[in-house]
Amino acid sequence: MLQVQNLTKTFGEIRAVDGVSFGVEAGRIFGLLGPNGAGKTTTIAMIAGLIPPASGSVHVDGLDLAARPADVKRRLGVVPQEIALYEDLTARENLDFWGGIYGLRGKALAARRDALLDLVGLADRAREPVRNYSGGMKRRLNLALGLVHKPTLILLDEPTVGIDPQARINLLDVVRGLARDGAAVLYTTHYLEEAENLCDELAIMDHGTIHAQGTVESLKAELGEGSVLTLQGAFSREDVAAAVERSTGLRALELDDGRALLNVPRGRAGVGAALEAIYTSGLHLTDVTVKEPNLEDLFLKLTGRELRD
Amino acid sequence: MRSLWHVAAHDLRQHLSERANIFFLFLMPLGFVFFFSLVNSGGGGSDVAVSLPVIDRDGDFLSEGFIAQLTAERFQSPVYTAAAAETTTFTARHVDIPEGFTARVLGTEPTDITLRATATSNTDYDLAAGVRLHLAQVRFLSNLWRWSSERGDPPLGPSLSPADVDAASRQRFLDLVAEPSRVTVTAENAGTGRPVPRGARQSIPGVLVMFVVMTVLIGGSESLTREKLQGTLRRLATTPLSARQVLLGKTLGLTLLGITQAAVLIVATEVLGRFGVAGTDFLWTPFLVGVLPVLLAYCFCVAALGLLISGLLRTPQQAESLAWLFGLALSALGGSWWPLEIMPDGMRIVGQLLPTGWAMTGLHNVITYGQGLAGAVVPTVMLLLIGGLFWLVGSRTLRVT
Repeated sequence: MLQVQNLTKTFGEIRAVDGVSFGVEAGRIFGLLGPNGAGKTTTIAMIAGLIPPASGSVHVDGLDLAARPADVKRRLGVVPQEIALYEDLTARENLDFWGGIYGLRGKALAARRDALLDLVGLADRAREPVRNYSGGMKRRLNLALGLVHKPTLILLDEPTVGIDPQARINLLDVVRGLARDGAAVLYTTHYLEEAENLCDELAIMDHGTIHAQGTVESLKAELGEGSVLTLQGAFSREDVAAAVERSTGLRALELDDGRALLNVPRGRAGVGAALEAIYTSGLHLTDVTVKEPNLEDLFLKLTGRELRD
Repeated sequence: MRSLWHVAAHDLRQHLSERANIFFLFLMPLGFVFFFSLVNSGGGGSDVAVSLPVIDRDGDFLSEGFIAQLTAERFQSPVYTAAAAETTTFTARHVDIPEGFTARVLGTEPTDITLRATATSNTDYDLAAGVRLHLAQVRFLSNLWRWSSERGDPPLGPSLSPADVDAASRQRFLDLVAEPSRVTVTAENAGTGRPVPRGARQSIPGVLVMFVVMTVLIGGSESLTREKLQGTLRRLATTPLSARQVLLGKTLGLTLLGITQAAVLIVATEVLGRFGVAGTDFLWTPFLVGVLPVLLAYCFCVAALGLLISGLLRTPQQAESLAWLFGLALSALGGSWWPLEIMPDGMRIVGQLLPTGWAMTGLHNVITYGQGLAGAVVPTVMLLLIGGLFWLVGSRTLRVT
């Protein structure tokens, strides 16, 4: 459904997006995971036709965005990060307006509007001005507006920012439903849990480039089998590297002065042996944690920093 | 194209649904029209009454006849006796009829009637009063000649005194003064001379031009900057509309807002004119063919200016403040408040560069100078060119994406 090839965007000296390529199939949710400033929104803006790329291409349903922007945009449902609504209008009036832009009229528009109001749970408040809504309700309407014309590719740019946990769960359920109904979904987020639980495929993005992509399982597999051991203390990276070299099965994922991320073979024996090796190496430790690998660890391994930095 | 109209119609509905805009669109301009029409109802034109108090120190039948002659010349002439005049302060011009006026005229002796203007009187009206006073004098003399001719005996001359004129003869003179004049003097401009637009023909088009620019600039720039901030402008560009089409739709919406404002004022002032309310008998209907292209081009031009202002500023508050400033300045400099013709040369040149200036010129060409559609061509083209320039700059400064 969506094919992005070598997409690049520069703002002066800054390369906001640098050679990004990925694809999203119909019925699948593809996540772009990265911190603020990673280039996710710029990537979405280029796919949505809001800003032209410096190079690269975007194809939707086989159509080149550069050559046929109107045809491509007709297939897109864009849900922007900001809540872009007419606050003086009601939810119904907002949906009517945005539906009208896509040529929906009369009964078809009314049916679609009512279905969407049911979908996002706003049917009972549909005749109220949007300015009276809570943040979560506005987010839900923001989503509904992007779906009014039944798009085949849905671009969701951090749609859960600033809403309460229950509203987030509801919204994610709606997104899953859209994919089940056959839409291709491109979803950006900086929430690991969201990406892990929602997305069929993920790309980990930072500083404008994609560092890794694949299914959640395949990405986790890059951390290797077993557990992740995190060490903190007064040591140098060379000290840890030497300790890792002396041990059996221990593998360095990320090494830094005072902090190290190590892969430990699965099983109790593996962890015990690893701890013993570190202990005997004489490293001065202040904190040691052992946990199952997650995307945060992968992000740290790939980018050298935490997602929430 | 259909989507452009959809955007434009949506924007117009949004503007019309706001209570503050209804006040600005409908109530405030009508108040201004009523006020300006009232203020201007005594000014301009050749038929307006000019105030000219009279001090009658003579008190005889010829001074009474002369005063009646003044009234026939459309003067409003309250009469003061010499004693009353001593205690009255005249704020404008007045006429002084000397004691013994009747006796001197009947005796063919020279006598003076004095027109006195004060420092605070309106020079235009002083001039008009002087001309009409001469007309009254000519007609007074012609009636005196007719009266004398009818009397036969005794003729005017040194031997005739007021005591020789009986009551019937005195009344006959007053009757002659009351008869319609047989000679009419009409003043018109000749050659390249252009009269200064005045009265309702200045104030009503002026109010219209002012309120269109105020409504469109204030409402338009406020709503566009708000849309820029809340992201709906950007969201519109994610639809099949291009950024340029979004801006065209927004411009069309603002143009429709201006047209609505103009239509409200045209209909309202037409009704006022037909019923003679507030002293105006000005009607749009004879001029609509020439007026419409000017107004359509003007509405587009002002809408494009609204787009430009919205692109330059970040917040609705900033945009609204600047729009007020622009609107008032454009109205004053463009000749909405007073005719460009009475402004100093430098200001007039500036005014003629502005959309309001071209709109007023076009309206005056059609309404005051009777040039019809031909008089509308140049102002319409100029407004479209200026509007096009505003739009090109505005579409680059107002970033949809």
